[in-house]
Amino acid sequence: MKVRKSTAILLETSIFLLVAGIVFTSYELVALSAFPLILLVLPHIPVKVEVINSIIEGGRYVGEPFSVRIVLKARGFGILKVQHILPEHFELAEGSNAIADFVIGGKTIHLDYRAIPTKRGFYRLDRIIFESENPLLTGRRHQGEAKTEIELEVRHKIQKILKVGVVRGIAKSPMPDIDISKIGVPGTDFREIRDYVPGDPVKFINWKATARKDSLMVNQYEVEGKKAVWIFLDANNYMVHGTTIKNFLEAAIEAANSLAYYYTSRGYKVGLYVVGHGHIIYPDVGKRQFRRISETLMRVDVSDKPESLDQAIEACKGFLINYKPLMIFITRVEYSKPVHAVLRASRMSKRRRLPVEVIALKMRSDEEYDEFATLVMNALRNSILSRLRVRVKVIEWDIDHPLSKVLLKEISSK
Amino acid sequence: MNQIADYSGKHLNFLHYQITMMQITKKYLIYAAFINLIIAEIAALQAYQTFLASPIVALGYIPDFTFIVIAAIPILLMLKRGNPFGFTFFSVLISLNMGILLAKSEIFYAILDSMYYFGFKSLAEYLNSIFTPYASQNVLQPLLGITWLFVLSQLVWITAEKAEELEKRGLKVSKLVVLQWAYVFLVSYLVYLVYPAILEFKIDYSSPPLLTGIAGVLAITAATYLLSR
Repeated sequence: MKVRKSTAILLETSIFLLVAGIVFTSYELVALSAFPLILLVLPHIPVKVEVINSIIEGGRYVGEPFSVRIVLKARGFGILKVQHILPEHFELAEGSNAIADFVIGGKTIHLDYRAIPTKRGFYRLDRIIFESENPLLTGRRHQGEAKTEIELEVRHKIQKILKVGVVRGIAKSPMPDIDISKIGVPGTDFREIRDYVPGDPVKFINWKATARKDSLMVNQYEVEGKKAVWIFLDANNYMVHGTTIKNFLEAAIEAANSLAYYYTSRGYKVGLYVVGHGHIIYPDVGKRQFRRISETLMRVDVSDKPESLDQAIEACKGFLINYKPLMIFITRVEYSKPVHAVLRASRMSKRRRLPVEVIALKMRSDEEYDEFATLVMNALRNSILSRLRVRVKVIEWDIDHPLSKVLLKEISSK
Repeated sequence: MNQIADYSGKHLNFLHYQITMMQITKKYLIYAAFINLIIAEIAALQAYQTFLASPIVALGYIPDFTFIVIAAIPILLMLKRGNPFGFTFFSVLISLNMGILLAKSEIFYAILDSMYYFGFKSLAEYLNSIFTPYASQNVLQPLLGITWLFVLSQLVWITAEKAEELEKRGLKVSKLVVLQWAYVFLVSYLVYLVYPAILEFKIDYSSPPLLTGIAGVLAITAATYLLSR
């Protein structure tokens, strides 16, 4: 137990008078020594707090302010401090989420403030803690907690990505806007004649070709729907470099979210693999798929268990062979060293290389440090990037800049 | 952007503690310093008046500027950005009343007896003749006044410090400090008024000296224990 300052000063005064009284055999000083002690024993009625009403508005996206209004009823006597608990990475924009007041009997307390969520996630802002104490600031403090029903779902704002690439068929460009899907419902556009495999519909058998080759041949039609896109989001522990608010993982999530929106809104099948967590979202189309991906991304945190990109490719191998998607790796190349994994991914198809793109994250602030370690890391990154550029498309993204600008630059430079 | 308010500090990770827009002006401490300066000067005046009526004055010449010196101490303390009515100044004020306290003290007369025994007869008789007339003088009321003013000033200072701390942590303090000061004044003044009556009640009650002694020792032990923790 720590003696509080007011208590200490009152006790010190009392002891001083008592000791002086004993030393000088003074009745007056001894009698006076009880004066500060009387102030110490003054009673305190602990304040109780209950929530009358609570409203939250806004704050659906990272950086979008939200306003909170909480009405509390306090009963008791003393100094009351009330605080609405917010996550540490929220920022106050206006007002305060905590208040101190003098309660005599009963009082209505209003907590009005505006704050900004700086990190995506699902937040339960239901805790209101309070503490009451004697107005003389002596004795012990009484703590309590009141609950309210406030929840906040914060997502990354989807960055508007411009149209990227228009090459049809073979995905020479990693971002083909009108590429067609490998699998799906067959349409009416003829693609080729191929050998029959069990499961092919009888109506697709090309009898003339079968007669000529003396083996069953079938017509292959273009399937409806567009190509699949598979996003590999690196969530290994090296991705948390930076501040809580702005770090590589947050930037990668923001990029994955924006790309998922871009492709799903254009009718692509989009799949996601979170490297480090081994979490797969199977490719699908539409808004529901985007919501699924977005919700998964909202919960993604850094992984304690390391997983290489090679292992990630291995985990998704079956799907990659089936869908032959455009693969997008979002990672820090100097740590993940994705050359081998990327090559392996691009060779998943026997007939032609699969399109692969690497979004290599970097932070400008890294370059501000003129330290040997930074120089080495930069050299390593450049070396890996140059090896990657020979084989796949690489986009270097400085996370301090908007992703849309970077992608636009990449396209315009083609 | 402002930091998230936190009255305890334990809910914040201070690695992410951001500079607040709120300017910390220490306005409450400035107000408290002025209030305490006034309180200290009143206490000094009270102590000086008691001092003038004490046997020490009868011992020799007391310069006129003595009060100015005493009154200047709180001003100097305030200029040093401290509490004008600190514990040291309180001790000085109590010591100003020491003349009358000695006149009532058994220890003092025991010392005079010793001096008399060891050959300082004239000095012992001289001091005895000066101090004895003051033995019946009431010093409790002025001492009570000084003690009350000291306790009041300390509580004013501590509440101001606390308000500064809360504001620094982003809490809206608004009228809290003023209300606290009013409460501190009222409560301590009430105790100040009632206190002599409590003492008289105790005097009327004839408790055995042994029990009083034991209670005193226990009080000291308890207080020392509490302070040591």
